[in-house]
Amino acid sequence: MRSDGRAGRPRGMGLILCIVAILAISGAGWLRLRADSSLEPLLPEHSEARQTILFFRDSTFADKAILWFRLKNGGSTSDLFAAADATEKRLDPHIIDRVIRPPSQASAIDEAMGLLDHAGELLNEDDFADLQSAITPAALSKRMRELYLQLIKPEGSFYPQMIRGDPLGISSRILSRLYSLSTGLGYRMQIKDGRFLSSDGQQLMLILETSTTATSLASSQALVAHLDDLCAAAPPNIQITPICGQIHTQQNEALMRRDMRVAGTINAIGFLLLFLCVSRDWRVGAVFLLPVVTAGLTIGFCALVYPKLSTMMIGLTVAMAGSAVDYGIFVYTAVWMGKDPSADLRRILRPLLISHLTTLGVFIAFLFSRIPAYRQLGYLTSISLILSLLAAIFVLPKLLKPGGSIVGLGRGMPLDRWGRKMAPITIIAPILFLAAVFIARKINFDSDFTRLDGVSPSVKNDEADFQKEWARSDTDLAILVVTGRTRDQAEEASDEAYRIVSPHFPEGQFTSLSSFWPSATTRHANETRWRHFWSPQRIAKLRQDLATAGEPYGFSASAFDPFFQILSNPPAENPPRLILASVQDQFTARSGTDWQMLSYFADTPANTTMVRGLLHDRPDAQVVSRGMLSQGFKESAISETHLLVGISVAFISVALLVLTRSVVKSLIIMLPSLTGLVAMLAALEMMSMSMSVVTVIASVIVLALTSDYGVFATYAFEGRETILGQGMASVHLSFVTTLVGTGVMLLAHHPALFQVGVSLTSGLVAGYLTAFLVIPGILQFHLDLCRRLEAY
Amino acid sequence: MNRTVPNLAVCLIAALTAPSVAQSPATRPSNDSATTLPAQATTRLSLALLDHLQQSLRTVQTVESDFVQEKKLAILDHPLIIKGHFALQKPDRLIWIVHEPVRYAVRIEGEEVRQWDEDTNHVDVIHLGGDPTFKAVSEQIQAWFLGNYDALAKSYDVDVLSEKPLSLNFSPKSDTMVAKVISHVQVTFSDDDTYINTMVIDEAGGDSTTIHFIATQVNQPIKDNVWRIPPNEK
Repeated sequence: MRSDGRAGRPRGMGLILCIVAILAISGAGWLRLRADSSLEPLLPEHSEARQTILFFRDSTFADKAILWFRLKNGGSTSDLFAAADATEKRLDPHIIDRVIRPPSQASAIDEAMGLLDHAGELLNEDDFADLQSAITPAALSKRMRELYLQLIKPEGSFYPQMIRGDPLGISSRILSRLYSLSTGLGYRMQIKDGRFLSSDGQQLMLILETSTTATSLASSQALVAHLDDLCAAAPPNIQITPICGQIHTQQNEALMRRDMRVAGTINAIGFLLLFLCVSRDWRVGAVFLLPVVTAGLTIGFCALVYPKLSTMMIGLTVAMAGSAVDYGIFVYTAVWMGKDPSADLRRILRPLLISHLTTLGVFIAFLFSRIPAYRQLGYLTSISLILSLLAAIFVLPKLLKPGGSIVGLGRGMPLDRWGRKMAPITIIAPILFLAAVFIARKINFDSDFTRLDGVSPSVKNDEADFQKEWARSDTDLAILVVTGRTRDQAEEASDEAYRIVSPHFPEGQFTSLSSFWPSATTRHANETRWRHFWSPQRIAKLRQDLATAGEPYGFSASAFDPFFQILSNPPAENPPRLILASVQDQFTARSGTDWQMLSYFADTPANTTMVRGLLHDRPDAQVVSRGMLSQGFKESAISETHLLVGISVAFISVALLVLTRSVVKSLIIMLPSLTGLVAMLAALEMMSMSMSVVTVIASVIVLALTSDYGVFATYAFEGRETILGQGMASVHLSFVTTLVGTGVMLLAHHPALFQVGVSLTSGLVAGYLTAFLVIPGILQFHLDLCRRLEAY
Repeated sequence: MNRTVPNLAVCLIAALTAPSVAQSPATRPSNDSATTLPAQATTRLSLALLDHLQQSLRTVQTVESDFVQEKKLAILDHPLIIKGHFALQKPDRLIWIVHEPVRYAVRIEGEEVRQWDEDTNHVDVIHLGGDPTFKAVSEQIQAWFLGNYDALAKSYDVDVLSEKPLSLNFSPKSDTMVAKVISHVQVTFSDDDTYINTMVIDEAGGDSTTIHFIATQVNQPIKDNVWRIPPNEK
């Protein structure tokens, strides 16, 4: 006795040390955890969709915010200006770097008028063909007539100075490209007194460059709080509305945290109530706590290796914790309620193993996914399940004390009698199944990932109204992003991309800074061409021809001297800084130390496919497109579905066939999974929801969990248990605990979590009912049939 | 080079010479004008006189007149004489017809602009929102003829050259866009202050335009054929 006691103490100490070590390691992981609420983990690696999201994460393009001022209850434009001025004074310099302003009108006009001085740099090869034909005597005669007519028009007072400096209208070509840069971006506005105003003058836009990004939660929260303060301080007749991506980040995070808090609270209360209803004995509490503890430990372990776990996947892991309760029930009943604990343990090992392997197989399939969030879920749930099983077999028996009881365990109607009573339901079930299939067949896949955005309806309405008020068209713009290590490199790459892509678009449909102000290298090449073109002989001939063409209209001999001075002099040293400063915000961005040049075109599948095809061999060029992002989501979700469901079904099938050695039994075990999946799709369709990237996860989880129900129901029937026997009690308790976890998501405000809740709850309910009501009926029918055939 | 491409500089200048609706306190220009007034300038326009002028002009619903425009431009060897006819009807109807030296007409009606000239003999239809040049022209003419001098006074320093007949000198405020193009505008009214007799525009570059309005009719019905584009032969 004494020697046994001494031998027991080191083993007990070893176990305690082990547990402490595990807790410490997991705790360290929890401290490192940085939960990620963004969509990024849901995108496949090395995909265009991921590159798109990373562009918005890393580029300064996404650090802008807009304050939208609107008059209400009358008021004038001066009220808008006063409100904008007052708001500017209240800007926090730690959050807002600067206000983006249009250039002052007087200075901008000087620069616009002076663009002819840069004509040599800005005209390209194609322009020279037109220039050649514009200086023929016939063309000049026609041109003089046009200029004369312009002088006669009511607005003619504005023309003389420009005509003298540019009789050929060269600057109009350059100015039209500048004009296209603003109109091509899809916003209609006017500039007045240094402010951006709507066409009707009733609204004003203040564009802010911030030091925040939409992918940083802390900075997004700070910015949104500051913008809310500014909006709250609006005068009574002005409404100020903030528009920025950071609002989405902040609201999604707040929503998800709120939902997780509610889910955690309800889960805890639900578990407690369940525990009190089922046992009322704290010694049985370990059975219910075990899966939650292992899930918690698993999250810590995974966070140690990969701190940035997806919030959604953490939530799903906790929700799935309930499914491992059945391990504890099985072990509990085997160890403490059976006559021979060792024999009972051996007896339950096969169904426990089948259940575990079928579930594990599904989650291991996730490890093969290209989507990081799916792989995270695979690691989290697989490790959690393995730990739950090991804890149930090796740890739980040491925690359980004799004398505890689970209400009703072992009682109730025998399953064979129950099966006979369920005969009518077994007959009706196929009809219901077919009806569900009929409904479910209509479901489609929703590629609009914005439906997973948890931002409030009022924010979505504001953004839609903003687009309606300020945008020129309903078509979104896609962005061609060309990256370079230096600004010059980026500009040269942008020029090259422009030369390749723009001829494939109608005029004005591909908006690029390269069309107006190309790189220094291109400008130098243009200038060389210009100087070569305007030889002294050509200039002299043009002077003569202009004088001849202008004489019938009274143009003086010195009328166009300013133009010839420009031709004879080198280009102006000073670039049009104000004009460039006003446009470059829309066409340049930084990503770390790299420079990005941005060009815009209508976001249609045909355009994005064409541009991607034209630049497929340029690693420095990337197309950022909302349409492509949606399509990318859809394609990846569909391909992942095929992969995951394929692997899962194959694994489960093989495992079942090997372990049951019966095709019929394997098919019966899979019935709850089949009905669960169909019911899930039918429920989504009836609620006018579509499949999405998150319901793909839910469908695979339904497959995994409901296969457990089939295993335990089948083995319970074969073991001649009652409806509250060991096997069925495991099904009931596993279902109820999982239902608490999934049902609470029906209260979620976040659309992605709500969709998962609908999918999982409907699938689990259908699978459970199949396991509890239909499988006993089918098995009894099968048994009776076999007996009759034998008798016959 | 394509002449139908809108001249952005003209668009910008034209848009910005329209009466400024409002200015924020931070950008309100100083009252000091750097422009040189004509020699006979006397006093700044008083509020009472401005109010009287506004009241007179606000009663005007229609204006129809012949005009003779003389442009002295450095680009031309000789003064350019333009003769024509114009009509203006509240709230938003305007036609400007040129008979000599070329035939040309532009009609602005609401948001629609129709333009014709004898060379093309084709009527171009333009939307006002798509070309701020015409919008500015329309706003200018309406402002000068229909009495929005309150708004004009925000962009210009206004001096009274004489009271009988009323003659005003408008000098654009120095930091406005208008000052880059126009040096000053001198307007002489009719005896009853209901229409403009003469307008002289001196441009910053030294050019000048003088418009004499002849046989002006105010608040008289305007015949339908006046609004026709192409216009009738005179």
